[in-house]
Amino acid sequence: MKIKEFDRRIIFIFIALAVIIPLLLPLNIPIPVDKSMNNGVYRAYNLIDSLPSGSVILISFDFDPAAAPELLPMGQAMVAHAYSKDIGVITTALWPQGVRFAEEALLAHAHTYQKERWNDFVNLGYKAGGVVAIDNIVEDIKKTYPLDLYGKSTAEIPVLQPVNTNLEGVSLIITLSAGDPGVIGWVQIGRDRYGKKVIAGCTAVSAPAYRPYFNSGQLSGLLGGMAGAAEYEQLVNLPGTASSGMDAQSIAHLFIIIFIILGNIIYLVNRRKTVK
Amino acid sequence: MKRMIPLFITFASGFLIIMSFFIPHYPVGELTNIMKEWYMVVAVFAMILGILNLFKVNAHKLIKLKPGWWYALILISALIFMVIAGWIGGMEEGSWFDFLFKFVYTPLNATMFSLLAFFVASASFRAFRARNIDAGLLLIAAILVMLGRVPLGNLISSYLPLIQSWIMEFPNTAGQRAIMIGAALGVIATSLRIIIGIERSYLN
Repeated sequence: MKIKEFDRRIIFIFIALAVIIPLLLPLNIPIPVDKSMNNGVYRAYNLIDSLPSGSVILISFDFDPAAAPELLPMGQAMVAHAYSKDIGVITTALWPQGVRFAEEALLAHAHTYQKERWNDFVNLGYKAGGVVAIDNIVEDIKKTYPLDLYGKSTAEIPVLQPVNTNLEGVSLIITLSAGDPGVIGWVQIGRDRYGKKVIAGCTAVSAPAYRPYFNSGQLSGLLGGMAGAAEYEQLVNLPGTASSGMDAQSIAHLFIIIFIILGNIIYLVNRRKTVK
Repeated sequence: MKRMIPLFITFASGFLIIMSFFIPHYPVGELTNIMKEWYMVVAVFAMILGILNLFKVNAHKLIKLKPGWWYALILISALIFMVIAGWIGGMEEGSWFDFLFKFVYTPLNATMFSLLAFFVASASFRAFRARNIDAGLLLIAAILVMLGRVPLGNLISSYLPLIQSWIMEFPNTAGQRAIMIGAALGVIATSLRIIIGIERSYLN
Protein backbone atom coordinates (compact mmCIF):
# COMPACT_ATOMS: atom_id res chain seq x y z
CA MET A 1 0.00 0.00 0.00
CA LYS A 2 1.27 3.48 -0.85
CA ILE A 3 0.81 6.38 1.54
CA LYS A 4 -0.09 8.69 -1.34
CA GLU A 5 -3.05 6.44 -2.13
CA PHE A 6 -4.38 6.62 1.42
CA ASP A 7 -7.58 8.70 1.53
CA ARG A 8 -6.88 11.52 3.95
CA ARG A 9 -10.59 11.91 4.63
CA ILE A 10 -10.27 8.77 6.82
CA ILE A 11 -7.75 10.64 8.98
CA PHE A 12 -10.08 13.67 9.13
CA ILE A 13 -12.98 11.45 10.30
CA PHE A 14 -10.84 9.86 13.04
CA ILE A 15 -9.64 13.25 14.28
CA ALA A 16 -13.17 14.68 14.24
CA LEU A 17 -14.44 11.71 16.28
CA ALA A 18 -11.44 11.93 18.62
CA VAL A 19 -12.41 15.53 19.39
CA ILE A 20 -16.22 15.30 19.36
CA ILE A 21 -16.76 12.10 21.41
CA PRO A 22 -14.72 13.17 24.50
CA LEU A 23 -16.45 16.56 24.41
CA LEU A 24 -19.88 14.91 24.46
CA LEU A 25 -18.94 12.04 26.77
CA PRO A 26 -16.18 13.35 29.08
CA LEU A 27 -13.60 10.79 30.18
CA ASN A 28 -12.63 12.94 33.18
CA ILE A 29 -8.95 12.12 32.92
CA PRO A 30 -7.35 13.78 35.97
CA ILE A 31 -5.34 16.90 35.07
CA PRO A 32 -1.99 16.78 36.90
CA VAL A 33 -0.47 20.02 38.16
CA ASP A 34 3.30 20.15 38.46
CA LYS A 35 3.87 22.20 41.62
CA SER A 36 7.55 22.82 40.99
CA MET A 37 9.02 26.24 40.20
CA ASN A 38 10.13 24.91 36.79
CA ASN A 39 6.48 24.95 35.82
CA GLY A 40 5.57 28.33 34.31
CA VAL A 41 1.90 27.91 35.24
CA TYR A 42 2.63 27.26 38.91
CA ARG A 43 5.13 30.12 38.99
CA ALA A 44 2.48 32.48 37.54
CA TYR A 45 -0.11 31.27 40.04
CA ASN A 46 2.31 31.68 42.94
CA LEU A 47 3.22 35.21 41.88
CA ILE A 48 -0.40 36.40 41.68
CA ASP A 49 -1.20 34.56 44.92
CA SER A 50 1.63 36.32 46.73
CA LEU A 51 0.39 39.83 45.84
CA PRO A 52 -1.11 41.69 48.79
CA SER A 53 -4.75 42.71 48.77
CA GLY A 54 -5.24 46.12 47.12
CA SER A 55 -2.53 45.53 44.50
CA VAL A 56 -3.24 46.28 40.84
CA ILE A 57 -2.36 44.11 37.85
CA LEU A 58 -2.54 44.84 34.12
CA ILE A 59 -3.75 42.15 31.71
CA SER A 60 -3.36 42.72 27.98
CA PHE A 61 -5.68 40.70 25.74
CA ASP A 62 -3.58 40.45 22.59
CA PHE A 63 -5.45 37.84 20.57
CA ASP A 64 -8.32 37.24 18.17
CA PRO A 65 -11.11 34.62 18.21
CA ALA A 66 -8.86 32.00 16.57
CA ALA A 67 -6.80 31.74 19.76
CA ALA A 68 -9.69 32.37 22.18
CA PRO A 69 -10.31 28.68 23.08
CA GLU A 70 -6.75 28.54 24.42
CA LEU A 71 -6.29 32.06 25.81
CA LEU A 72 -9.69 33.18 27.07
CA PRO A 73 -9.86 30.46 29.79
CA MET A 74 -6.45 31.68 31.03
CA GLY A 75 -7.80 35.24 31.22
CA GLN A 76 -10.95 34.18 33.03
CA ALA A 77 -9.05 32.06 35.57
CA MET A 78 -6.45 34.77 36.23
CA VAL A 79 -9.06 37.51 36.62
CA ALA A 80 -11.02 35.26 39.01
CA HIS A 81 -7.82 34.61 40.98
CA ALA A 82 -7.17 38.35 41.19
CA TYR A 83 -10.76 39.03 42.31
CA SER A 84 -10.47 36.37 45.03
CA LYS A 85 -7.37 38.15 46.37
CA ASP A 86 -8.95 41.65 46.15
CA ILE A 87 -6.50 42.67 43.45
CA GLY A 88 -7.55 45.42 41.03
CA VAL A 89 -7.53 44.49 37.33
CA ILE A 90 -6.77 46.80 34.40
CA THR A 91 -7.20 45.38 30.91
CA THR A 92 -5.83 46.63 27.61
CA ALA A 93 -5.78 45.13 24.10
CA LEU A 94 -3.21 45.42 21.35
CA TRP A 95 -5.44 43.44 19.01
CA PRO A 96 -8.83 45.04 18.21
CA GLN A 97 -10.76 41.82 18.87
CA GLY A 98 -9.11 41.44 22.29
CA VAL A 99 -11.36 44.13 23.76
CA ARG A 100 -14.45 41.88 23.68
CA PHE A 101 -12.54 39.01 25.31
CA ALA A 102 -11.24 41.32 28.04
CA GLU A 103 -14.83 42.30 28.74
CA GLU A 104 -15.89 38.64 28.83
CA ALA A 105 -13.09 37.72 31.24
CA LEU A 106 -13.78 40.70 33.52
CA LEU A 107 -17.49 39.97 33.76
CA ALA A 108 -17.30 36.14 33.99
CA HIS A 109 -16.76 36.08 37.77
CA ALA A 110 -17.45 39.72 38.73
CA HIS A 111 -20.85 38.89 40.20
CA THR A 112 -19.52 35.93 42.24
CA TYR A 113 -16.83 38.04 43.89
CA GLN A 114 -19.04 41.18 44.03
CA LYS A 115 -16.68 43.27 41.94
CA GLU A 116 -17.71 46.52 40.30
CA ARG A 117 -16.53 48.23 37.15
CA TRP A 118 -14.17 51.15 37.82
CA ASN A 119 -13.87 50.35 41.56
CA ASP A 120 -12.32 46.91 41.08
CA PHE A 121 -11.69 46.55 37.35
CA VAL A 122 -11.50 48.64 34.21
CA ASN A 123 -11.40 47.82 30.50
CA LEU A 124 -9.31 50.44 28.73
CA GLY A 125 -9.91 49.05 25.25
CA TYR A 126 -7.80 48.75 22.12
CA LYS A 127 -4.73 50.78 21.22
CA ALA A 128 -3.10 50.66 17.79
CA GLY A 129 0.65 50.87 17.33
CA GLY A 130 2.11 47.57 18.55
CA VAL A 131 5.38 47.95 20.43
CA VAL A 132 5.09 51.75 20.38
CA ALA A 133 1.67 51.46 22.02
CA ILE A 134 3.23 49.23 24.72
CA ASP A 135 5.96 51.83 25.24
CA ASN A 136 3.36 54.58 25.66
CA ILE A 137 1.16 52.47 27.95
CA VAL A 138 4.07 51.67 30.26
CA GLU A 139 5.36 55.25 30.18
CA ASP A 140 2.05 56.94 30.94
CA ILE A 141 -1.08 54.78 30.85
CA LYS A 142 -3.48 57.60 31.69
CA LYS A 143 -2.11 59.81 28.93
CA THR A 144 -2.24 56.94 26.43
CA TYR A 145 -5.79 56.12 27.48
CA PRO A 146 -7.51 59.40 28.44
CA LEU A 147 -10.85 57.50 28.49
CA ASP A 148 -11.80 53.90 29.20
CA LEU A 149 -13.96 51.71 26.92
CA TYR A 150 -17.15 53.35 28.23
CA GLY A 151 -15.89 56.90 27.88
CA LYS A 152 -15.10 57.55 31.56
CA SER A 153 -12.04 59.70 32.20
CA THR A 154 -9.16 57.54 33.45
CA ALA A 155 -8.20 60.32 35.88
CA GLU A 156 -11.48 59.67 37.74
CA ILE A 157 -11.43 55.86 37.80
CA PRO A 158 -10.79 54.59 41.37
CA VAL A 159 -8.92 51.38 40.40
CA LEU A 160 -6.44 53.53 38.42
CA GLN A 161 -5.76 55.94 41.30
CA PRO A 162 -2.63 54.14 42.60
CA VAL A 163 -1.21 53.93 39.04
CA ASN A 164 1.31 56.55 37.96
CA THR A 165 3.82 57.02 35.14
CA ASN A 166 6.14 54.10 34.30
CA LEU A 167 3.29 51.85 35.53
CA GLU A 168 4.22 52.65 39.10
CA GLY A 169 1.56 51.03 41.26
CA VAL A 170 1.06 48.12 38.87
CA SER A 171 2.53 44.99 40.45
CA LEU A 172 2.42 42.76 37.43
CA ILE A 173 1.84 42.73 33.67
CA ILE A 174 0.14 39.72 32.10
CA THR A 175 -0.03 39.35 28.34
CA LEU A 176 -2.31 36.79 26.74
CA SER A 177 -0.88 36.79 23.28
CA ALA A 178 -1.46 34.99 20.00
CA GLY A 179 1.47 36.61 18.20
CA ASP A 180 2.74 40.06 17.40
CA PRO A 181 2.20 42.52 19.06
CA GLY A 182 2.33 40.58 22.29
CA VAL A 183 4.79 38.70 24.48
CA ILE A 184 8.05 39.90 22.92
CA GLY A 185 6.95 43.57 23.01
CA TRP A 186 5.89 43.38 26.66
CA VAL A 187 9.17 41.64 27.59
CA GLN A 188 11.32 44.15 25.67
CA ILE A 189 9.53 47.22 27.02
CA GLY A 190 7.78 46.21 30.24
CA ARG A 191 10.40 43.87 31.66
CA ASP A 192 13.73 44.85 30.13
CA ARG A 193 13.26 48.63 30.01
CA TYR A 194 11.02 49.32 32.99
CA GLY A 195 11.76 46.29 35.21
CA LYS A 196 8.13 45.19 35.56
CA LYS A 197 7.34 41.52 36.17
CA VAL A 198 5.70 39.98 33.10
CA ILE A 199 3.68 36.75 32.82
CA ALA A 200 2.81 35.39 29.39
CA GLY A 201 -0.05 33.20 28.25
CA CYS A 202 0.31 31.98 24.69
CA THR A 203 -0.95 29.40 22.23
CA ALA A 204 0.54 25.90 22.41
CA VAL A 205 2.36 26.29 19.08
CA SER A 206 4.20 29.42 20.22
CA ALA A 207 5.05 28.23 23.76
CA PRO A 208 8.42 26.66 22.78
CA ALA A 209 9.52 29.98 21.25
CA TYR A 210 8.89 31.85 24.53
CA ARG A 211 10.51 29.23 26.75
CA PRO A 212 13.97 30.94 26.61
CA TYR A 213 12.42 34.13 28.05
CA PHE A 214 11.01 32.09 30.94
CA ASN A 215 14.29 30.27 31.58
CA SER A 216 16.22 33.56 31.60
CA GLY A 217 13.81 35.09 34.12
CA GLN A 218 12.49 37.71 31.71
CA LEU A 219 9.11 36.05 32.03
CA SER A 220 7.93 35.42 35.58
CA GLY A 221 5.44 32.82 34.41
CA LEU A 222 4.47 31.05 31.21
CA LEU A 223 1.17 29.40 30.35
CA GLY A 224 1.21 27.42 27.10
CA GLY A 225 -2.00 26.55 25.27
CA MET A 226 -5.08 24.81 26.58
CA ALA A 227 -2.96 22.59 28.84
CA GLY A 228 -1.57 25.69 30.60
CA ALA A 229 -5.06 27.17 30.92
CA ALA A 230 -6.41 23.87 32.31
CA GLU A 231 -3.61 23.70 34.90
CA TYR A 232 -4.39 27.26 36.02
CA GLU A 233 -8.10 26.41 36.28
CA GLN A 234 -7.16 23.45 38.51
CA LEU A 235 -4.96 25.65 40.70
CA VAL A 236 -7.71 28.21 41.31
CA ASN A 237 -10.25 25.37 41.60
CA LEU A 238 -12.46 26.75 38.84
CA PRO A 239 -12.60 24.05 36.15
CA GLY A 240 -13.81 25.63 32.92
CA THR A 241 -13.67 25.15 29.18
CA ALA A 242 -9.93 24.43 29.14
CA SER A 243 -10.23 21.60 31.67
CA SER A 244 -13.15 20.07 29.78
CA GLY A 245 -11.21 20.35 26.51
CA MET A 246 -8.22 18.37 27.78
CA ASP A 247 -9.93 14.99 27.28
CA ALA A 248 -10.47 15.83 23.59
CA GLN A 249 -6.89 17.06 23.26
CA SER A 250 -5.54 13.89 24.90
CA ILE A 251 -7.40 11.60 22.50
CA ALA A 252 -6.56 13.77 19.46
CA HIS A 253 -2.84 13.65 20.39
CA LEU A 254 -3.09 9.88 20.78
CA PHE A 255 -4.63 9.52 17.32
CA ILE A 256 -1.98 11.74 15.72
CA ILE A 257 0.72 9.55 17.35
CA ILE A 258 -1.01 6.41 16.05
CA PHE A 259 -1.11 7.91 12.54
CA ILE A 260 2.58 8.83 12.73
CA ILE A 261 3.51 5.26 13.79
CA LEU A 262 1.23 3.80 11.11
CA GLY A 263 2.77 6.06 8.46
CA ASN A 264 6.27 4.95 9.48
CA ILE A 265 5.35 1.25 9.42
CA ILE A 266 3.99 1.62 5.86
CA TYR A 267 7.12 3.58 4.90
CA LEU A 268 9.46 0.88 6.31
CA VAL A 269 7.53 -1.97 4.66
CA ASN A 270 7.60 -0.17 1.30
CA ARG A 271 11.34 0.55 1.66
CA ARG A 272 12.11 -3.14 2.34
CA LYS A 273 10.10 -4.15 -0.71
CA THR A 274 12.02 -1.64 -2.85
CA VAL A 275 15.39 -2.92 -1.55
CA LYS A 276 14.39 -6.53 -2.32
CA MET B 1 14.62 64.75 -4.54
CA LYS B 2 11.77 62.21 -4.55
CA ARG B 3 14.21 59.66 -3.17
CA MET B 4 16.27 61.94 -0.96
CA ILE B 5 13.38 63.19 1.22
CA PRO B 6 12.10 59.71 2.25
CA LEU B 7 15.69 58.59 2.84
CA PHE B 8 16.33 61.61 5.04
CA ILE B 9 13.08 61.07 7.01
CA THR B 10 14.02 57.40 7.54
CA PHE B 11 17.53 58.29 8.68
CA ALA B 12 16.39 61.10 11.01
CA SER B 13 13.60 58.97 12.57
CA GLY B 14 15.80 55.90 13.07
CA PHE B 15 18.74 57.90 14.39
CA LEU B 16 16.55 59.85 16.82
CA ILE B 17 14.92 56.73 18.25
CA ILE B 18 18.32 55.05 18.76
CA MET B 19 19.70 58.24 20.37
CA SER B 20 16.77 58.40 22.78
CA PHE B 21 17.94 55.12 24.35
CA PHE B 22 21.22 56.85 25.29
CA ILE B 23 19.93 60.42 25.81
CA PRO B 24 16.39 60.21 27.20
CA HIS B 25 16.54 63.92 28.21
CA TYR B 26 15.41 67.13 26.48
CA PRO B 27 15.29 67.65 23.49
CA VAL B 28 15.87 64.08 22.22
CA GLY B 29 13.44 62.50 24.69
CA GLU B 30 10.73 65.05 23.91
CA LEU B 31 11.11 64.61 20.15
CA THR B 32 10.96 60.84 20.51
CA ASN B 33 7.76 61.07 22.57
CA ILE B 34 6.16 63.23 19.87
CA MET B 35 7.23 60.74 17.22
CA LYS B 36 5.80 57.85 19.21
CA GLU B 37 2.44 59.67 19.41
CA TRP B 38 2.58 60.33 15.66
CA TYR B 39 3.27 56.65 15.08
CA MET B 40 0.11 55.63 16.95
CA VAL B 41 -1.97 58.13 14.96
CA VAL B 42 -0.46 56.88 11.69
CA ALA B 43 -1.16 53.27 12.77
CA VAL B 44 -4.86 54.10 13.22
CA PHE B 45 -4.99 55.76 9.79
CA ALA B 46 -3.27 52.70 8.31
CA MET B 47 -6.15 50.60 9.66
CA ILE B 48 -8.72 52.95 8.10
CA LEU B 49 -6.78 52.84 4.84
CA GLY B 50 -6.77 49.03 4.99
CA ILE B 51 -10.56 48.88 5.49
CA LEU B 52 -11.15 51.35 2.63
CA ASN B 53 -8.84 49.38 0.36
CA LEU B 54 -10.61 46.11 1.25
CA PHE B 55 -13.92 47.78 0.48
CA LYS B 56 -12.65 49.20 -2.83
CA VAL B 57 -11.18 45.90 -4.07
CA ASN B 58 -14.31 43.91 -3.19
CA ALA B 59 -16.73 46.54 -4.48
CA HIS B 60 -14.89 46.46 -7.82
CA LYS B 61 -15.13 42.65 -7.89
CA LEU B 62 -18.84 42.84 -7.12
CA ILE B 63 -19.71 45.53 -9.67
CA LYS B 64 -17.82 43.76 -12.45
CA LEU B 65 -19.33 40.40 -11.38
CA LYS B 66 -15.90 38.79 -11.42
CA PRO B 67 -15.51 35.10 -10.41
CA GLY B 68 -16.28 34.75 -6.70
CA TRP B 69 -18.31 38.00 -6.61
CA TRP B 70 -20.65 36.47 -4.02
CA TYR B 71 -17.75 36.29 -1.54
CA ALA B 72 -17.24 40.02 -2.09
CA LEU B 73 -20.96 40.56 -1.50
CA ILE B 74 -20.85 38.64 1.80
CA LEU B 75 -17.72 40.51 2.92
CA ILE B 76 -19.13 43.96 2.13
CA SER B 77 -22.52 43.14 3.68
CA ALA B 78 -20.88 41.83 6.86
CA LEU B 79 -18.55 44.84 7.04
CA ILE B 80 -21.38 47.34 6.69
CA PHE B 81 -23.69 45.41 9.01
CA MET B 82 -21.09 45.18 11.81
CA VAL B 83 -20.34 48.91 11.55
CA ILE B 84 -24.04 49.80 11.68
CA ALA B 85 -24.70 47.34 14.55
CA GLY B 86 -21.87 48.82 16.60
CA TRP B 87 -22.72 52.42 15.73
CA ILE B 88 -26.45 52.28 16.44
CA GLY B 89 -26.75 49.59 19.12
CA GLY B 90 -23.39 50.08 20.90
CA MET B 91 -21.04 47.27 21.89
CA GLU B 92 -22.32 46.43 25.38
CA GLU B 93 -23.29 42.93 26.57
CA GLY B 94 -26.48 41.86 24.85
CA SER B 95 -26.17 44.30 21.95
CA TRP B 96 -26.40 43.22 18.28
CA PHE B 97 -22.67 43.81 17.87
CA ASP B 98 -21.92 41.63 20.89
CA PHE B 99 -24.24 38.91 19.58
CA LEU B 100 -22.62 38.90 16.12
CA PHE B 101 -19.12 38.94 17.60
CA LYS B 102 -19.78 36.11 20.06
CA PHE B 103 -21.96 33.82 17.97
CA VAL B 104 -20.90 34.47 14.37
CA TYR B 105 -17.42 35.96 14.13
CA THR B 106 -15.79 34.06 17.04
CA PRO B 107 -16.97 30.55 16.01
CA LEU B 108 -16.05 31.21 12.34
CA ASN B 109 -12.56 32.39 13.20
CA ALA B 110 -12.02 29.59 15.73
CA THR B 111 -13.19 27.05 13.14
CA MET B 112 -10.59 28.24 10.65
CA PHE B 113 -7.85 27.80 13.26
CA SER B 114 -9.24 24.42 14.35
CA LEU B 115 -8.82 23.05 10.82
CA LEU B 116 -5.12 23.02 11.63
CA ALA B 117 -5.65 19.86 13.74
CA PHE B 118 -6.85 17.97 10.67
CA PHE B 119 -4.00 19.16 8.48
CA VAL B 120 -1.41 18.45 11.18
CA ALA B 121 -2.73 14.88 11.52
CA SER B 122 -2.73 14.34 7.76
CA ALA B 123 0.70 15.93 7.25
CA SER B 124 2.21 13.92 10.14
CA PHE B 125 0.95 10.69 8.62
CA ARG B 126 2.31 11.53 5.18
CA ALA B 127 5.58 13.28 5.94
CA PHE B 128 6.84 12.54 9.49
CA ARG B 129 9.30 9.77 8.65
CA ALA B 130 12.23 8.26 10.52
CA ARG B 131 14.42 8.35 7.37
CA ASN B 132 17.67 8.70 9.37
CA ILE B 133 18.88 9.00 12.98
CA ASP B 134 18.22 12.78 13.17
CA ALA B 135 14.65 12.42 11.89
CA GLY B 136 14.16 9.45 14.22
CA LEU B 137 15.25 11.50 17.24
CA LEU B 138 12.92 14.32 16.21
CA LEU B 139 10.07 11.85 15.85
CA ILE B 140 10.66 10.30 19.28
CA ALA B 141 10.92 13.77 20.87
CA ALA B 142 7.67 14.85 19.19
CA ILE B 143 5.81 11.78 20.43
CA LEU B 144 7.13 12.21 23.99
CA VAL B 145 6.18 15.92 24.05
CA MET B 146 2.73 15.28 22.55
CA LEU B 147 2.00 12.63 25.17
CA GLY B 148 3.67 14.48 28.05
CA ARG B 149 1.67 17.68 27.45
CA VAL B 150 -1.74 16.04 27.92
CA PRO B 151 -3.29 14.36 30.99
CA LEU B 152 -3.33 11.02 29.16
CA GLY B 153 0.48 11.01 29.25
CA ASN B 154 0.48 11.19 33.03
CA LEU B 155 -2.01 8.33 33.10
CA ILE B 156 0.32 6.17 30.98
CA SER B 157 3.41 7.01 33.02
CA SER B 158 4.19 9.74 35.52
CA TYR B 159 7.63 10.04 33.88
CA LEU B 160 6.20 11.31 30.57
CA PRO B 161 5.42 14.88 31.82
CA LEU B 162 8.92 15.04 33.36
CA ILE B 163 10.58 13.93 30.10
CA GLN B 164 8.44 16.44 28.18
CA SER B 165 9.45 19.19 30.58
CA TRP B 166 13.15 18.30 30.18
CA ILE B 167 12.92 18.34 26.36
CA MET B 168 11.20 21.75 26.43
CA GLU B 169 13.59 23.21 28.98
CA PHE B 170 16.95 22.13 27.57
CA PRO B 171 17.15 20.96 23.92
CA ASN B 172 14.23 23.19 22.87
CA THR B 173 15.53 26.28 24.68
CA ALA B 174 19.01 25.80 23.24
CA GLY B 175 17.64 25.57 19.69
CA GLN B 176 15.26 28.49 20.16
CA ARG B 177 18.01 30.69 21.58
CA ALA B 178 20.21 30.01 18.57
CA ILE B 179 17.35 30.95 16.23
CA MET B 180 16.53 34.08 18.26
CA ILE B 181 20.13 35.31 18.35
CA GLY B 182 20.46 34.74 14.60
CA ALA B 183 17.19 36.53 13.90
CA ALA B 184 18.11 39.44 16.21
CA LEU B 185 21.45 39.91 14.45
CA GLY B 186 19.60 39.89 11.14
CA VAL B 187 17.14 42.52 12.39
CA ILE B 188 19.99 44.76 13.61
CA ALA B 189 21.83 44.46 10.29
CA THR B 190 18.69 45.13 8.23
CA SER B 191 17.66 48.07 10.43
CA LEU B 192 21.10 49.65 10.09
CA ARG B 193 21.02 49.15 6.32
CA ILE B 194 17.62 50.89 6.16
CA ILE B 195 18.65 53.78 8.44
CA ILE B 196 21.91 54.38 6.55
CA GLY B 197 20.10 54.15 3.21
CA ILE B 198 21.78 51.04 1.77
CA GLU B 199 18.55 49.04 1.81
CA ARG B 200 16.01 50.94 -0.30
CA SER B 201 13.56 48.24 -1.39
CA TYR B 202 10.78 49.87 0.70
CA LEU B 203 10.95 52.85 -1.72
CA ASN B 204 10.02 50.57 -4.64
